[in-house]
Parts: sequence; C-alpha cells; structure tokens
Amino acid sequence: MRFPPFISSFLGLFYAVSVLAQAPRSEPDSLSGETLDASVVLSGISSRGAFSGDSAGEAFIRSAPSIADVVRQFSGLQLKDYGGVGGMKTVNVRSLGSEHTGVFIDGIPVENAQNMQVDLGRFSTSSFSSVELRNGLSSSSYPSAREIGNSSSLYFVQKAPTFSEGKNSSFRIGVRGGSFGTFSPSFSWDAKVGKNTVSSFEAELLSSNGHYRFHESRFRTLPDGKVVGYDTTMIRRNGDILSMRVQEHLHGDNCVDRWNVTLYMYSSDRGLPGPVVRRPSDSVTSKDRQSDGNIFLQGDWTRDRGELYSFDLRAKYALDLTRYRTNPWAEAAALPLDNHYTQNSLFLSMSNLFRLGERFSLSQATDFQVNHLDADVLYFVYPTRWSLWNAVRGAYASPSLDMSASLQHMVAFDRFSDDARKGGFKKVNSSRSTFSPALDFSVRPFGGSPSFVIDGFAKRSVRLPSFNDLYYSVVGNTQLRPEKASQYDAAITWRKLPSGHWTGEARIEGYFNRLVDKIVALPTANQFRWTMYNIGKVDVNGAEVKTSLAYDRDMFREGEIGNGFSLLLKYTFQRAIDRSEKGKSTYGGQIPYIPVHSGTLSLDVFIRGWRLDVSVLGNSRRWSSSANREDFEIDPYVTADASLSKSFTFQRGTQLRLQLNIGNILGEQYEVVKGYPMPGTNAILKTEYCF
Amino acid sequence: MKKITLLFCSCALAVIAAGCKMDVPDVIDASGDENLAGEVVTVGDATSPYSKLFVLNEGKWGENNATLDFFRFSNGKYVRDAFSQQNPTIPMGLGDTGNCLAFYYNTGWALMNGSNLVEIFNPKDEKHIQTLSIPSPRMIMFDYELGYAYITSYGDAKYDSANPEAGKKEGTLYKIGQVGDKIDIIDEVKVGYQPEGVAICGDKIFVANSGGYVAGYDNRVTVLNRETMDYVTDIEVAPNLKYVISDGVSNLWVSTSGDYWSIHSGLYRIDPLSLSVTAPSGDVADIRCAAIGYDPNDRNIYVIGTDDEWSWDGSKQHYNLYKMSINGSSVTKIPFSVNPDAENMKMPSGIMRNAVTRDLYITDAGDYLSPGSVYSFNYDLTKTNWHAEAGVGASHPAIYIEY
Repeated sequence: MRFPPFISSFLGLFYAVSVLAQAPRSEPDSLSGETLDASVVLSGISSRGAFSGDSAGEAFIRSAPSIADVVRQFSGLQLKDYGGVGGMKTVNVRSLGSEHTGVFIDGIPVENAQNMQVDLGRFSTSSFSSVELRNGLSSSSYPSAREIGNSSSLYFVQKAPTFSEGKNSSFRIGVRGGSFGTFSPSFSWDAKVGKNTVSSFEAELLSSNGHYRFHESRFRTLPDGKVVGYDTTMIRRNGDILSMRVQEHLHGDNCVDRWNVTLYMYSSDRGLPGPVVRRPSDSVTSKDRQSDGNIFLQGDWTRDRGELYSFDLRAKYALDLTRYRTNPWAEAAALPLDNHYTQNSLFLSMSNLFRLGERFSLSQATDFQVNHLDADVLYFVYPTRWSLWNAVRGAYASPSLDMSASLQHMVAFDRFSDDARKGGFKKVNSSRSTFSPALDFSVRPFGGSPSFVIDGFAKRSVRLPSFNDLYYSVVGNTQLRPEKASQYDAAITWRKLPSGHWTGEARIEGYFNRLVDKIVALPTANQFRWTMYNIGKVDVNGAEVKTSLAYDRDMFREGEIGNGFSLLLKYTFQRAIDRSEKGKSTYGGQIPYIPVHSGTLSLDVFIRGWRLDVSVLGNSRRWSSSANREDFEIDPYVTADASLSKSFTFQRGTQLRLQLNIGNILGEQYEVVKGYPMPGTNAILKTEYCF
Repeated sequence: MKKITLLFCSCALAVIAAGCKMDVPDVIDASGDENLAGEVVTVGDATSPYSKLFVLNEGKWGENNATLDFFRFSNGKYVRDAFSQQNPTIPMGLGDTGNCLAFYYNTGWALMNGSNLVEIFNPKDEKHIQTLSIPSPRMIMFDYELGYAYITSYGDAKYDSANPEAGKKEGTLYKIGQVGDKIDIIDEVKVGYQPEGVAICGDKIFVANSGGYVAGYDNRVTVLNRETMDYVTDIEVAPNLKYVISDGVSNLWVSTSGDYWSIHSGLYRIDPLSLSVTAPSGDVADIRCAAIGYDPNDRNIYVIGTDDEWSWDGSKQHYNLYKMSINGSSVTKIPFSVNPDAENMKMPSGIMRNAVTRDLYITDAGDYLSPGSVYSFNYDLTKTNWHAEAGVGASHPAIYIEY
C-alpha cells in the first residue's frame, strides 16, 4: 500500500495502519529469489507496536504445503483437521469455537451461514501474500462493521503482482505431486492491464486418492504386570478428492484510489471417509460423498486523498452449492440420502474514516448482508437472514500511547416459511440484536520507542446461531440466542530493533475469555430427538509466550539474495474450563479438543537461493468430552515438518523453483479429532517455472 | 439352573422354552473378571438367583466408545468397561454405538449399530466368542422354542430418495441360527423402513418400523410367518414405531415415539389374530414412552415417559414411571418426583426389573456425551438402593442368569 508520504506519517501514528502498511503489504519481487520474510520473524509485532495474534508472510506461505499448515502454527489457534487432503480444516481461536473466527479475504468476509465454519482446505498457498490472525483490533484502517465486533479474525491478503522492468506480463506453470496420489497442476498469468491496474489469473487442479496408512493401538497393563493390547494397521479409504479452482484478481492503485476485484470459482467432489470405528473385516467403510461448488465475486474500493475524509466500499456476492449423498448400493449400512444445499449471500459495506487533527481519528462503518439457504431436505424452512451492522470507532494515537474504543450494533432478522409446525417447532420469524463494545491500548513507555510495548484489549463479541443450529430439520431450535464472548487481554513485548544483522523479540501475553450462551446439542425429553440449547458456559485462562531471533547477513543491502536464518518459539497455555452445569461430571473439566499446553518451534534457514524450513508442533493430551476421564483422553503428539526449496534464475529473468515438503517426519500417529487419524510421513514435490 | 423366567430387555421379548437349537458354549472356566477393578456400590447378596446386571453404554456416535459395564449381585461391585479389559487384544474394543443388549442362555449379544456387527460374548467373563456382520443392527429377539435370534437392521435400504414414489422404503430382518459350528445368518427378509422392535406372538413375527430419516416416518408393523419368514401383511399403526412387546400368546403392543409435534408417543394394541389395531384409550392414552421394559414374571410393561414431551425450551423434564399390565387392564403412574434421585435424572433411557426383589434398575444417559449413570430403586421409586457412574450414553440394562 503506497500512501503519499504525508498521509503515511499521519497514519503511522495509527498503529493498525502501520501494520498493514509495513508487514503484510511488503511486496517481494517474485523474480529476485528468496527474501527475508519480515512478517515471520516479526509475527505478532509490527514496527510501531504489537498486536494480539499472529501472522505469516509470502515466503513462509509459499513454503508450506497448504494454508492449514500455515495457520496451525499460529499461537492460540487450534486447527480442527479431519485428516487427509480432502478432510475439513477449520480453526478455533482461544477456545471460543470455530464459529467465532471470522475469515476475510482482502477485508471481505468468507460466508457460511449454514454452519458458520469456513473450510480452509479450499484456499491455496499460491494466492496469498499474507495471512494474519488478529484477536484484538482489526488490522485495517477501514474495518468493516462486522470486523469490529468479531472475537478474532483471520485475514488473507491476495497477492498483487509486480513486474521486473520492461515486462508487462509473467506466467507461472507449476505441478506438485507425491503422497496420497496427489497430482496438482497449476497455471497463473499476471499482466499489466492499464496504467495502474494489474491482473492476476490463476487456475489449479487437485486430484488425490487420499489413501494413507495409519495404525490404531491400545495397550493396557494387567494386574499381574503383563502388558497386552493391539496394534493394527489400516488404510484410510474414500478420502479422495478432485477439485478445480479458477480465479481472476484485478488490483489497481493510483495513490489516491485503490481497488480490488476478485472472481473466484471452486468446484470439488470428495469422499467422506467417516470416523474410524470397529468394523467386521468384510464390511466396507463409508461411501459418503460431498460435492461443492463455490463462486464469489467481490470488490473493494478505497479513496484516500489524505484529507479529513476517506472511505472504503466493499461488495460481495457468493453462491455456495453443496451436495451430500450416501451410497446404499455400495454400503449396506448406509441409509439413502441425497441432499442439495444452495446458499446465496450478498454483502455490502461502507466504512468511513475522519482524521480529526494529528492524534484523533473517527471511523464509522455500516454493513448489510442477506443470506438465503435452500435445500431439499424434509421439513425444510428455507431461511433468509437480513443482517445490519453499524459500528463506530474512535482512536487516539501519540508517540507513546495508542488507544481506541469501538461499539458495534448488530441486528439480524430471520424469516422462514412457517407453514404448519414443520419439524415440531412453533415457527416465529425472529430478530436478534446485540451490542459489542471493545477497548484497546498500546503503550510505549520509553519515549515512544517500539522496543518495549505494553498492549491489551477488552472486548465483547457475539456469534449468531447458524442456520443449522436454528432450522435443521427436527434438530434446530428457532429460539436460540447468539453466543456471547468476553475477552480480556494484556501483553508485554520486548524487541531488539533491527540494526546490524540481528533482530530478536519476546512477547508474553495473558488473557481471560468467557463464553456464555454457548450453543450445545442435547437430547430432548424424548431421547430420540435432539435439539440445540444455549446452555454452555466456558471460562478460558490463557497465556502465550513468543520469542524469535533472526539473522540476515545481507540486511539492508539492496538487491541481494537473503542469507540468514530465523528461529521462532511459541508456547500457548490454555485452561478452558467447562462451567455449564454444576454438579455434572463435565463441570470444571477442560473442554473438548483444547490442549492445556501447545507450542511450535520453527527454524528457517536461507542461503544462496536455498531455503529450509523445519517446524515442530506439539500438543499435550486432550479430551473428547469435558468429563476429563481417561477413556475420553486423546493422546498428546509432536509432529515435525520440513520444507526445502531452491530457486534457479536463468537468462532473461526466467526462474525455476523446486520445493520438497516432508510432512510428519517423525511418523507420529495422532488424531486431532477423535476417530479421524492423521497421515504418517508424507512427501510432496513441487516444481514451478516462471517466465 | 434357576427356574426363573426373567428375560426382560427394552429390545427383546423372551419366550421361555426348554428347546435350544443354537449351541451354547459350555464355559466351565469362567475366570478372570473377578479381579477387575470396580466400585462397591452396595452390600452384595450371595443368595440372589441372578449373576449380573449388565449395562450397555451406547457411547457417542463415531467415537467408538461404547462400553459394557456390569454389577455383580454376589459382591455388590460395579465394574466399568469390562469388555475391553477382558479382551485387550481385540482391536477397537467393543465398538461404536451399542444399541441393544440381550442374553441367550450363556451368551450375551450386544448389537453395535455404528460398527455394523453383533458381538457375541460370554457373560460369565465378558470374553469374546464371535461376531456377526450385520449392517446397522437395531434390536434383537430370541425364539427360545425354535432356537433362533431375530435382528432388525436399517441396512440394505436401497430406496431412491431422489425419486420417493418409485422405490419401496425397506429395511431388513435377519434370522440367526446355528450353521456348522458357528452362529450365522440363515435368512433375511425385507421389512419396513428403519425397523426397530421385533416380537413373536403366536405363529407370527411382528416388526415395528420407524422411518424418519430422509423419507418421512414409517407407520407400519410388518407381519411375517414365524416358521417360513414369509411376508403376511403390513398393519398401519402410527408414525415412528419403536418397541413391540408381547407375552408370546395373546397380548401384543407396539409403541410409537410420536412425530414430536402433532402425535404423542404412546402404546397401541394389536390383536394378534385379527391384526386389528386399538388406539390408546383411558389410562393407556396417558402413557408417554421414552423407555420400555417388559417383565414376563409379573406380566407388566414398565414405561418411562414425560407428560411434557413437546417442550423444547430446555426446561426441567418431569418423568413418570407407568406400570401397565400386559392385558392393558390396569395402569399405575408413579412420578419420578417421589425420589430426588429419580427426579434429578436427565434422560432415563432404559429400565429393567428384578423379579425377586422387585427392584427397578434405571439407566440415565445424561447428555449422551458425558458419563451416564445407573440407579437401583425399590418397586415404587421411593427408595434408592444404590447408584453407579456408568459410561457415555448408559442405556441398556439387562439381567443375566447363569445357566
């Protein structure tokens, strides 16, 4: 983002902006080889201040085999991974549940009103220049009203292509393949299409049979000291996927106006292997299948003359099709099912920024959204939701203190067909209205130097009940209230400023979250009929520690290929306590799937165009129920992944890049979700040729 | 062998007879399970004619955590997860989603719905004998006279949901018997959609069909010839049928779970000869069914239900125990509120009666996600004898008598 110098200095005081301007927006020249990835080294810390969250930059994203592998290393984030190439991957930040995490591409939300979960498996590592997790304040200077009230947000920023001198277009062809029968060719074409406009077209095909070996074992010690048990090896089947993604991205920037337009099309067909359970040897595993079609068209336009007033307009239309079907002809136990779901959504947003003198700014945003879900399931009520968000934010910024306060109001009105009492509920069109206030600060007590920063926030946010929670045939409960989350966070950051070849930093953060009215499925008075209730309550006490150290021999030397390394260590403590119902065996227990201790260690080394990334990720034991009994325990695990890449630059600027990813080097057998074993050691080789 | 005719299972009707066509393994050496760690929940009763009260915990679907617990009458000890402990080398333990538990002499039969199998084990030491591969098994009934087992299954339902008018909605009834030295499937026949309960009355087999998944509720009882398994007829009763209870001779009842908003759960009477249906009336019409058990010793059906079954607001449910004579002539209603332990139950899911002490064993499945419990009450619920923490989805109590 290139602000005029005057505006830059102005906004530099506004720390959210400076993060966007300096970390994720750095545009490495795609032809100059590897560069030190500032945002990896400085994860969670911008040059001006510090923020609660984490981030990854382009070089790191490119080295990872998938987007899920990028975000799983973020501190405080649990990736819920059902395993394999086609297995669903969603994120859960600070134990608040995946429905609370907003996912944004170029500031525009990725929507799923049906279940409020976004599958990160749909996104590709080649599309984005940065991924950033924010727990507190939005990273944008023009946050949409929705963003302001989110408990945490994951921001994806699309690449804007750059060209070496004298060139107006560039092409990339790539292919990757390896384990799980993976074969994935891709093609991209970047071109200058106007004085200030660049176009980026990308197409990718992914095919994988999804087969992998795993083993199930359990040993127990008998009273006489003998150890007996089983260890059986199986092959994961029906995890195949065939998907295709085509997207076109236009990006324009003339110093006053900046605009992005993206057309995204994705289609896939995959097997759903289901949980691994005991089965007779002659029985087939699940033959369930899911097909998806996702199309969205989105655009945003920012006008900023550096004057009192500037604005950002955003719009998006999305169509999401899902077909879920069983195959009773191939699987005797399956009941015949073939359901189609169609979601339509329209999102409009305007956000305004008023700069009131040197230290104050005021922003206001209004978002409007419509969602409609159509399905051919029995007793379906065809819900439509109109949502309106309004938010204001006031910010103060001085060399030693940044502060902001915001308030968001949301009103959502649901309408659905109410003929008869379909599925059992008395249907009443309903509206839900909530206020979400937030306050945050960042203090640089030593003369405004960013080498020592104290920051924190307090925030209340909500998530609406999904269409599935409310209207799923016979299960939904139309009376549900939104889930409410309160977050309190404070952190201290120390940083060695980049001088010489070394940079280093440490950050210690503590937080308390409380989730009330959590939506939980429970059986009703009739044990054969379940429904959703607002009865859950969770308290989370958490702490995060991050340290990093980086060395770059060629820092500040223009045009040099980076030679150096960075080392990053993150530790997360999360005590997420179920406080739902006193007297139950679940009361006081750690909630399902959240490890008390987790952490990552990653090392990146880059020398003469070679790059090696090694990351080790560990999770302590988890439980599949808040009743933390031994029989619900899921084993702790440690996984290690490595990626090695090398770029070769030829005459006339063409470049060949080879990359080898080895996943789960230790061959750890582990599960993130109970019943869904993860693959053992696997390897993917990627070749890219740019010209 | 004790001459006590008690076979009372929420999913099986016992017709007691001397004949026995399926080989029952003659297990003399039943060592092993005495040493299992357990919790002493009451004073043991060495004179009890019964050996054990078993509880099958359904577990959570897809988590493969169904477990088998037992209470031993002689020492008052409650042992959790006995099957996995006694069979540590069987991969994946008992399996996924236990749906029914019953005993045929010295064999225990656990129907594992999510595992698509039936585990046949020795109830003396909980050791594995063999499995039967049956897709999505639901409930079992033994024909003690002829020596067969009948198992209903949701499986083999090749109904075309995209074209609802074209196909017939079907499930399967499997007939199990001795084949060589193994117990195996000897016959299978198509019944209605999503069959649940099955019972014999006279020379016919009656299967209750529930439906409800995708294609709407089934409302038929499928009638089959007991000897030939030939289809006789369908009887339309009410939507979403569940249990079939019979004294084997002249009294036959079928329960519906209702459609959850316009038709209440309840008990319908079928005349086994004319096959005519009598809708519930009088006191019988007040009965709501969440769990059902029949004790052939006192010829009473024991039903648990709540008056307020269409309340979905999460408010506290007040359950009742209904005791109805098999001929429908008398109905006694005891509210759970007579005993705070009973009143505190979240989801009473199974009931079994001890014919000697007249005690009632009631399982509480709780939220089906965290451990449930099992209670022993006296005959009118006013006294709690003992209770124990069970496994997830504690649902199927069954008494085992050693033969």
